[in-house]
Amino acid sequence: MAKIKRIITDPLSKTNPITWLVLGVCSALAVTTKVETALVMAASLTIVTAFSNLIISLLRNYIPGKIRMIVELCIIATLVILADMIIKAFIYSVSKELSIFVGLIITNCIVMGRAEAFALHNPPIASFLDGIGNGLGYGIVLFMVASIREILGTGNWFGIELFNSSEWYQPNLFMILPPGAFIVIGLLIWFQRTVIEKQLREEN
Amino acid sequence: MDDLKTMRFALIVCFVCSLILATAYTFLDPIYKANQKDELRTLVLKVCGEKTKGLSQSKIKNIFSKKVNPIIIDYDGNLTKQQDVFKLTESQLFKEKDGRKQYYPIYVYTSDKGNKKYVIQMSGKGLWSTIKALVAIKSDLETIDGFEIIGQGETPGLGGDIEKPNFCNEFKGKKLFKDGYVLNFKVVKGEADGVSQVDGLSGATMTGKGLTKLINKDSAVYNKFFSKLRSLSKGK
Repeated sequence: MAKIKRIITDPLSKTNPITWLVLGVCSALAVTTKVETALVMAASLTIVTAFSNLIISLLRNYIPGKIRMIVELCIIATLVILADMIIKAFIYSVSKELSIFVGLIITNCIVMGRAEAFALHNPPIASFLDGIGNGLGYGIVLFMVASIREILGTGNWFGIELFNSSEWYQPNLFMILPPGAFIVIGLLIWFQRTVIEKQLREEN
Repeated sequence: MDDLKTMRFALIVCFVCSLILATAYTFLDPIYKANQKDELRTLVLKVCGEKTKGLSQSKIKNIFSKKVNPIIIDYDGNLTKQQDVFKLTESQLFKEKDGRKQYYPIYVYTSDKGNKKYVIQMSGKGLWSTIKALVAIKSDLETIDGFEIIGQGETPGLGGDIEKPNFCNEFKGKKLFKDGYVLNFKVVKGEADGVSQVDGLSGATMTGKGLTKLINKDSAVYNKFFSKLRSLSKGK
């Protein structure tokens, strides 16, 4: 039980895919200008990673070693296109802002990375949970980065006005542009590593 | 023997994956297409000043069919054979070939009091993406009554802000045409003066240039049709 719990909770902080493994950074830069898009992206990625892990883990004893990666890619691509179609059909307004990025989940290193590193060597349920854990870990970082960028960059949060940008708040446009994301993510990585390394030292 | 197994596995995986996608597409694509049409109806009504917030899609469909009559013209300003806007695909509506589009839709809106507005659809390249806009023209066939961006993928927070109300509202009362001629419409830097200028967004120079270009280009096409309307009303 404790092991299963760790599969989910570890990627949230200790082995976070973005700040610790530094995977999936490109999309973390691209979709974090608004909190809403960031959350939908995180949800789609969580679902895709979880199910691709599950399917790959179920097939792990049958997948021929030679074409291992191609098969993984095929499964992931199918799931991503499926997710894209579902978003377009049922949350149309969000799909307009996201559609290109959803397609890019295929190239998100987290999905492939977890399939290779975890799903190929572990039973289905653990793999499924690992996918969820890593998706959530990605989501948390995306949420933090997007909150900082949206609030500083536009004065809004979830599209709701926090600072009145037409009266006294001068939005920091720099935060909306890609360099803003680099700086915020860089600071997060620095913060997380400092904190966690201290934790690890105390544990030892 | 091993290679054969590998091959078989690959074939099965490909087959199953494509089967899943084909099935999903069959069911989900009609919903997606319907969403697009619903959105277009909502935006046409919105640009005409109708209240659409909170209305259900079936209600909007109802109002749309009562008040709006879509027609389609070609590059030369003549009515085309195809007159059903909702049957046209994205590429038929927005793809340009030699600077021309195949179809130019006009949504003729009649208010409760009988006032007419002509909503024209414009599109063209911005900085990164194709900008698509609806422009409502008053019955004088000169003045802009409403402006709405219906599709764009410009830089979020900079050029992307062209779809925000404070930019779109600037177009209200400006003129696209005067005395039968197309005015040189411009998205300018700094203060906008004159009836055919709007104040551009700072940090979005290229998006503004794209808008200027596409508005002028498509206005010229629509003016060919409006000229006919004008001479008709003069004849009366």
